[in-house]
Amino acid sequence: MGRHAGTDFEDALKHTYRHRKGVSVAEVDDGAVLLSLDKGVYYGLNPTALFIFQQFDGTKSCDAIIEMVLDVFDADRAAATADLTTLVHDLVANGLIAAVDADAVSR
Amino acid sequence: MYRTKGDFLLRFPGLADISYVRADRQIAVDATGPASAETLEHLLLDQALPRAISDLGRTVIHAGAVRINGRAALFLGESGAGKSTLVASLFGTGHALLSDDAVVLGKRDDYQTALATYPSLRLWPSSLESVADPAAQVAPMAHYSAKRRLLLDSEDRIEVGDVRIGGLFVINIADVGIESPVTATRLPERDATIELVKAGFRLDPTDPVVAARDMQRAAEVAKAVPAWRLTYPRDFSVLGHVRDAILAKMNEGAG
Repeated sequence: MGRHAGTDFEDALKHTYRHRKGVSVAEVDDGAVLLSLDKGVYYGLNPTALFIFQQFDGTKSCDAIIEMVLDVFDADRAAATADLTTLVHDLVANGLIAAVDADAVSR
Repeated sequence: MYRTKGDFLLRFPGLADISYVRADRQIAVDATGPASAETLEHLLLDQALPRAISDLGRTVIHAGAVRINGRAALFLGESGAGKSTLVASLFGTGHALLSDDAVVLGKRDDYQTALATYPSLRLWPSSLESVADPAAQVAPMAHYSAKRRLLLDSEDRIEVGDVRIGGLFVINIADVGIESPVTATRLPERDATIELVKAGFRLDPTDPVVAARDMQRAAEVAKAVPAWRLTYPRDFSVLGHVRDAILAKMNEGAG
């Protein structure tokens, strides 16, 4: 996952996210596959991305999730933040998660 | 496709309407145009039957399959990727045929199985000329296609039972010169899962319950069976090398 610049990306971590309805998850040994029937999208997650996806329960802030990632995986804060930003953007764009708060970044 | 009160109508404009009545588990074919008997058979066997089986709770995928050393090798790929040609090539060198198009995924004890929806082998004329036995009997597949259906008989090596799956191969025909090597690259389980789900036949592609069921089944298969992306040039002359690569991986998987 690479770094991106721009307001949308910078704002992405200010929101709290939950899984979108209708998204199916199948876990495998090297991560998971998500399916959004609405969007007709299959999306593969590596183990780190799966861990993050599992935290999107509508209650945890992105800051809290970054702390959890740093606890569990061997990663530095800057890389973890950049990866989370990219992942959030991808998952929102593919209809797999949605912001819980009103001004969703899922547009 | 149209849905009425839980039943389904598969409409092939100008050819046929195929209705599937869930309660009776019956498929009825009504010709609506100048379709030949072969065309109707093709639509029934290759389009309606896999979807009806899926509706019975089984996961059915677009895949060619042959038996190699007692285990099924499954070949996935986009339409036109060369599944049938590869299956015919392996069939022609002594490996029993399951199907060139569709298999039903199953589970027995602790292993995954494949069962042909019916034994089939349909080839374009160029493939027929290059990989099939010159003495093979053929018939038209459908009046609107140049593909030919090989007429299989009891003398042929046909596998009609379910077979333990030994390997999955995702065909990736590369637009490269024929000197390019044949490669078989191991696929991560999540990529294999996606390929299996993409290959699924479903009566109602929008049914989230069935989609979720098929994805879980795909993940089970991907966890249990090694998968490779098979890359080779689009040229009949390399098929011997492709077969060698497949046999090597099947032996590796069995070991």
